Amino acid sequence: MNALVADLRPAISRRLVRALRSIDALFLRVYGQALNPLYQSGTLAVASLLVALVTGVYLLVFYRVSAPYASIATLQGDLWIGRWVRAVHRYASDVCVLAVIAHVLKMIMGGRTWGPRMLAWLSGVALTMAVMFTGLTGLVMVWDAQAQVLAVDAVKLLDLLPILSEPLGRLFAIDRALPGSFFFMTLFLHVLTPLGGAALLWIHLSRLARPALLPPPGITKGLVASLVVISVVFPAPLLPAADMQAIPGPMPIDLPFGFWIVLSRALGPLPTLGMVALGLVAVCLVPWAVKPTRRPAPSHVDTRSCTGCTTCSLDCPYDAIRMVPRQDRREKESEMMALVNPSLCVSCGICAASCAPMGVGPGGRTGRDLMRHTEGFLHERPLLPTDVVVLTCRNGPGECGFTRDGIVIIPTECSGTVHTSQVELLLRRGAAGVCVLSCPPRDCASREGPKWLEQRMFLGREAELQERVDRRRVRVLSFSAAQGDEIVSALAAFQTEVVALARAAAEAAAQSELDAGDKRELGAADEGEPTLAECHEKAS
Amino acid sequence: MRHVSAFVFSLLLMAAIALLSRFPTQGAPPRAALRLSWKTVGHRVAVKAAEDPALPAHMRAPGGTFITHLVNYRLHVAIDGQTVADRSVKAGGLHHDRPLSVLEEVLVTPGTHPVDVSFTPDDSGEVTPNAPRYHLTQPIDFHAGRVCVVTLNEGRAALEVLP
Repeated sequence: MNALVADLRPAISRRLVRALRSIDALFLRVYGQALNPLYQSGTLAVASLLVALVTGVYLLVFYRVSAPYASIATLQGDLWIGRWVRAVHRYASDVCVLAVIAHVLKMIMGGRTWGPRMLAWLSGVALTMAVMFTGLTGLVMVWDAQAQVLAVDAVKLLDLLPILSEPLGRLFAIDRALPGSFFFMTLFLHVLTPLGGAALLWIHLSRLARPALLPPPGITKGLVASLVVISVVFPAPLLPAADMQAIPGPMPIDLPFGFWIVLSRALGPLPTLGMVALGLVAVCLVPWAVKPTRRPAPSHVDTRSCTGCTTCSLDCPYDAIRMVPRQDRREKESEMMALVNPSLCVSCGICAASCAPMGVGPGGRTGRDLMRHTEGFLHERPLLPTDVVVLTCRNGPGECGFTRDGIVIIPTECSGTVHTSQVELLLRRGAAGVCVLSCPPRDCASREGPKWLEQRMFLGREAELQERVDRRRVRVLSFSAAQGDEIVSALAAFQTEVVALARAAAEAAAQSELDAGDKRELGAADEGEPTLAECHEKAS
Repeated sequence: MRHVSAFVFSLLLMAAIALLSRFPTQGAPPRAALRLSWKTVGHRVAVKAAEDPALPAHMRAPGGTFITHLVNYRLHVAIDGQTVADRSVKAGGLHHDRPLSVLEEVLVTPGTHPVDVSFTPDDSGEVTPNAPRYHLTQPIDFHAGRVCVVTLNEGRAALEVLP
């Protein structure tokens, strides 16, 4: 099956998957698949931003640009609400940054940075910059010792750029040099930047068919509850007021937003600016550097097979397929037909499994190609009646390399590309059962593979598994690469079930054959053939 | 049970985030600092446009029109007789037509040190006998962790130490 499921992900993606598997395993053990925050990194970032937005509105009511530190100190002194609301605001922003980092890693691990996803990547970088800038302005608004360090060091970096006629650092030379408009401007930017961020988020999600903005309610509730509890227990620190004529001593820094202070203090402004600029350029270049070893062909439509059913266009996770009126329509052909936009297609192959007549899919990976390939595989490796065939997604469970007697593994591109006819074919060719191993539903590299697979197999979604197929012999399981042991036990249980089913079926067949033989014997007794012993032998 | 353990784990993660939010950083050793900060127009020199060598010939207006240049200054700072800063200060902006800005910070060991600051026209290019010259020579008491600011009081036409 190698030609069909060649892993085109770059080496760095595979290395990252291996390196971070233990973290994935830990989170899975604690949260399970449905509540695993690692599978909700993007939506978690949005949810934490929303929490920061709501708490920010409350803080805004009490913030005074004429006395920033005093107003924050008053809030901090309000033990009942102000203190923990401020802490929730701070920690939610930190959670957002960490969720963004997790999201970036997930995208690189899934090789989801290149081609049509480039827009999402670059807008994501801009979005991250907007989040960082918003956080920075928020910390400066407090105007405590940390704010002083952040503001002074940030303008030191800016003053290195030959774009301003006089050094901005003079703003902070003495306390009274700081104009009153400074805090108004900072507040304005702190509020305005998230609005720009909303526009960037729209661009970021614009190429997704059904973007998820918020995590499941369980995760959202858990996020808010844990933020509140930790804010009550560990209120956000408020350092002494900024004093421009004091040299900042050792102090706590909000690392997610002030990580560069550590660099700046250790290396000086110029190397820090260089490292930050280089880092930014490197992140922007990821789509060109982290890309498949060869670019897979986009999907195409065999117009003669297309029935105009619209399923492929509905199932495409990237809105790359639309229905258009058919030109030169012949008799019995549908009015509409599917048309793939290659500039939006990421070649995930989901459409190949959505098409009952197998008329759409990436070049060489349509339903027909999959069937041909499965036939070839069965020709090389005939199945035994006790064999269970496991169609396993190469991105997730396929990574852990499990083996077991009686388990025949066929790697697939993604579980969402498994055509139901493939499953039926395997059962008709003698497999005791067929199991499709998918990634956890929210961790699919093709976004919606497990969802569509489940619906096609058991809920009658178009390109459905036929009624005649015994559902007891088909199983869809979702596991991560970190769950090798669980995969083996689940497969063992399924194998036991289907082998028992096969045995029962064989016994029932033998019994019915026996009964038929008895009847024939009675009918042919006068003729003296065949004998009872012969019937038994035949049945057995 | 899973929800309880997940919530407890979430609290631990949040506690880690709360710790990240107060990541300890090393401060500077207990030293004092001398900060020089001011902005001044310095000295303007009017040049007849017709005579301005910086302009191409076809742009030199004949007589009447004057173009002003800001004179470059030289900043010299010595503490305990040791030069700690000596640089030319040019007018800001792409066309060097904005005021001169000075922002300099020097770390000093705490204690009393004689400080000598001079901000004088940089005569390496042109002779400017009328340009203001500023000098400050006085012992300054530096306290650990504090910054002593020297600025230019243009009203008094003198450099002064802020209290």
